[in-house]
Amino acid sequence: MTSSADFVTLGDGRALLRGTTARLVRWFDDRFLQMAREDGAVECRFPATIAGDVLTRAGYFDAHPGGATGLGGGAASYWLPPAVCYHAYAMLAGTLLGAPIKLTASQTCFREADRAALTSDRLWEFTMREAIFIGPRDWVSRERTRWAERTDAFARDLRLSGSRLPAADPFFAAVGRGRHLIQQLKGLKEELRMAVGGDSVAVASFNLHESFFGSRFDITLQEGIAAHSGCVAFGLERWALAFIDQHGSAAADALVGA
Amino acid sequence: MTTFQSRLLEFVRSDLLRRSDIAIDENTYLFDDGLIDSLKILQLIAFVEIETGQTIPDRDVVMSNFRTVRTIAQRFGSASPDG
Repeated sequence: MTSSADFVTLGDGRALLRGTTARLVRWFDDRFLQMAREDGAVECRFPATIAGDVLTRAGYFDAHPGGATGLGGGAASYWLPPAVCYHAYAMLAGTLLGAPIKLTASQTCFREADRAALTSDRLWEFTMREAIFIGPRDWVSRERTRWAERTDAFARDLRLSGSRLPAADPFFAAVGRGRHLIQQLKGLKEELRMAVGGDSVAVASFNLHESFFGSRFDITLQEGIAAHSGCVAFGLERWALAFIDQHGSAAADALVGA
Repeated sequence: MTTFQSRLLEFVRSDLLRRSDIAIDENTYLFDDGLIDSLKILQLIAFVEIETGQTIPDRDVVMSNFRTVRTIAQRFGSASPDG
C-alpha cells in the first residue's frame, strides 16, 4: 500500500496525514489512552528526544546497531526515540518500588532502518502509544495477557479482522540473534497483525522484558530483587490504515464523526 | 542416556552455566530465571550443531525442542554420529 488521498507518503519514511485519516489516528490514541486510564495507568508526557546514555544503559545499541537516529554529527548525545518505554525506565532508575507501576504515554518514534521506506505501513517516523507495567513477574505477565485480550476485544468491536501471533523483533547483530531466539523461545513477544492493502502488518505488540530493564536501571522490588517489566505498544497510523482498508473512508468518517 | 545427551549435559554444566548453586540434570528447565541468556542460547545452538552435524534453523528454536537437555537430545540427537 502506498498513498491514499489522506495518507501521503513522502518517499523518505515520513508521511503526511490529513482529514479523516488524521482524525482517525487521534481517535485511536484517545481510545487506548482511555483504556490505560481506566486501568489506573499514570499518564506521562516524555521528551521528544532521548539521551544516548539511556539507550546505552537499555542495551539498545547492542541489540539494534544502526537502529536509532542520532541528532547531529559524530557521537550524538541525543537521539530520536525508537520506542516510548525507555523513558519510563530512565525515569524510575534507582527506585525501590512500593507497589507495581502502570504508565502510559504516546509520542513520535523513529526507526532508522525504515528511513527509506516507500510504503505507508512501514515508516521511519510513526506514532506509538504504549502502556508500560513494572512490578513483580507474575503481575507483569498477567497485565500483558489482560491487555492482549482487551485489545482483541476492542478490535472485534470495530469488526477489524486480525490475529495475535507469537513474534520476535527483527534484530541485526549476533547478540541480537540470541535475543531474538530467546524472545521466540519464551513467548516474550506477541503481535496483533491485521490486513492492510493485501499485506499483514503488526498494529500492536505485547511484550515481556523479564528483569532485563529492571536490572539495568536498578529498579527493585521490596524483596530486593530486580523488577520485571512489560509493555503494550500500539502503532497508531497502522490502526488508521487497517480501519480504512477494511471498512472504507465512509465508515471512518462515521466513526470519527466527520 | 545417549552419548550425545551425556556430552550435552556436561557442556551445559561445565561450560554454559558453571553455577555451583544449582544442580543441573537432564530434566532441569534451562530457560527458567534467566539461566540461559541471549549469548548462551547461541553457544548452546552452536554446540548442538557441531555435535550433530546439522544446522538448526531459527524456526526450530522453540520451547518444545529446547526445554531441557533431554528434549534437546530427543529432538536433535537422532542425527548425531554417535548419539
